Amino acid sequence: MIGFNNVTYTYPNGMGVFNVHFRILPGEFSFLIGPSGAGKTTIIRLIYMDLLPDKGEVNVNRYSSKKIRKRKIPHLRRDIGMIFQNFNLLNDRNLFENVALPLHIVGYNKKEIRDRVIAILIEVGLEDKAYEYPWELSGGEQQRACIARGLVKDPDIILADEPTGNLDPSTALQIIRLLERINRKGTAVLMASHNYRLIKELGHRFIEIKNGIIQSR
Amino acid sequence: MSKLIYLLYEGIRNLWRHKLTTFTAIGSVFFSLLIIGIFIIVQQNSHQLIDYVRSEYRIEVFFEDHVNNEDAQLIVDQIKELDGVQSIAIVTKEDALKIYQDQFDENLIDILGYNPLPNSAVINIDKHGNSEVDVEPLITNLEKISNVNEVVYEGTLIRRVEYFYKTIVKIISYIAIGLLVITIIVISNTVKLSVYAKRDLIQNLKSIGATKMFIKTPFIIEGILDGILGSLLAIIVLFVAVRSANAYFADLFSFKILFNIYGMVWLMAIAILIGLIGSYRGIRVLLK
Ligand SMILES: Nc1ncnc2c1ncn2[C@@H]1O[C@H](COP(=O)(O)OP(=O)(O)OP(=O)(O)O)[C@@H](O)[C@H]1O
Ligand SMILES: [Mg+2]
Repeated sequence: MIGFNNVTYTYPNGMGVFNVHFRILPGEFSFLIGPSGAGKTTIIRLIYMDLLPDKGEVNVNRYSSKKIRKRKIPHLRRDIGMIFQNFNLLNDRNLFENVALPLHIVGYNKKEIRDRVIAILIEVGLEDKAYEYPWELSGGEQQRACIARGLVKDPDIILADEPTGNLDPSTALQIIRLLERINRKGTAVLMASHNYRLIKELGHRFIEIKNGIIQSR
Repeated sequence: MSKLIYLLYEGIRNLWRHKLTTFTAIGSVFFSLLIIGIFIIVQQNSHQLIDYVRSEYRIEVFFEDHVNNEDAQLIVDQIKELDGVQSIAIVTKEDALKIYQDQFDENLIDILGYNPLPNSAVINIDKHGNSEVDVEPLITNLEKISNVNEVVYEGTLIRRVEYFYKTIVKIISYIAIGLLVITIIVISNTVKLSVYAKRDLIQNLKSIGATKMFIKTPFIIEGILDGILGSLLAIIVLFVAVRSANAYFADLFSFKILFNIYGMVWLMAIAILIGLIGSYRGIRVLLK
């Protein structure tokens, strides 16, 4: 599903990730863990090919970083559900419209969009807030909305970059539980976090990174 | 299809969201199209004027004395074939005599005992639309025909009118082009602002798999709408202005200002093009 083969990516200032090698299988739940600045976001960006490696190869589904054409990158991203730390919801539209956005991109019709979005909002428990704006919601609700947006296209994998970073511990745990529930339905989840204490008890796989180098996987 | 509707909707929303910059863009389209529209109207009406002046252009050809009526007809047939001749009318000796008599109230036969006037012909020249009328080649050709004695025409007048007309058209075109360039820059800056204000959305859309086309289209629609709205305003103002000017001056002049709807269609087409180019320029920066 996701394969890193000795991948190195260096920013102009010499930071980055080095010789990264790991594999994520379909339906797997893994944490990408490491302190701030370790390279977690860099790895996530390499997965959705916002960055392309200097050395090595990243494989995502049937796409390879070596062969993919620029034009195809949007297609690759449509099979991935992205969730960010800062929620990245658009403040100029309500939750329904935010969650519907990925479907507009693919060109679903009005009815399909309605059905899908309502179903997903029910799944994350936000059906009552569909017509509220992001700023009217709590952090946890915003993050659930963001997960709904990531899920709406029924992706094979969810990439969550520090999704609990701005939440208090109990809300954070709620979000993780939601991701686990999604995972049990067959979607692979890769969640980046620096909060070791929050996740060490949960019994999932860890990929540990420090200074751009994988420590254990 | 539903995608298109969505993108259209997003474009309209962009307009609405940035009312102030939208206002600037529409205002500048309005202003420059107003000026260009005035030029178009002036040009269309000066057209009426120049056409009138040009209809007065005529060339008179006098034949040798010994050319009789049948010979004259043959020469006229020959002239008809020349480039730049729209029509030709023969003026026989007898016609000329009558014209002379009408003009000077004297009968030449009574005075001289014979008709001294030669056969001649009057040529109306071909005037093709906007382009300058150049009669010199025709004159040269006419003078080459045998049995043509003299060619009379208002050379300097024609040259002067044509030169003046050409210069005016040139100056107007330069001003119009200058205005168009300025408007394109204003629109591209407006769209640039709009793009900048939405860089989060753009980043966001990219990360969830939107194509560049999907991201760009609302901004392009925004630019086109700026153009359409600005030109509509300009057209309405011009229309009302021409109508009231015609009504106001109706008692004073017989001349009516023409308001050609095709000119206005052109105006709108220009505006759409401006909007398109402007918005393309505007998004280029952030979306290479
Ligand atoms: N655009 C960039 N240009 C230059 N250096 C960068 C850039 N982005 C990240 N870096 C550097 O690369 C290293 C890894 O950054 P990355 O964002 O992947 O860390 P992270 O593990 O996600 O950290 P955090 O937990 O704070 O989000 C850091 O040292 C960072 O300063
Ligand atoms: Mg990070």
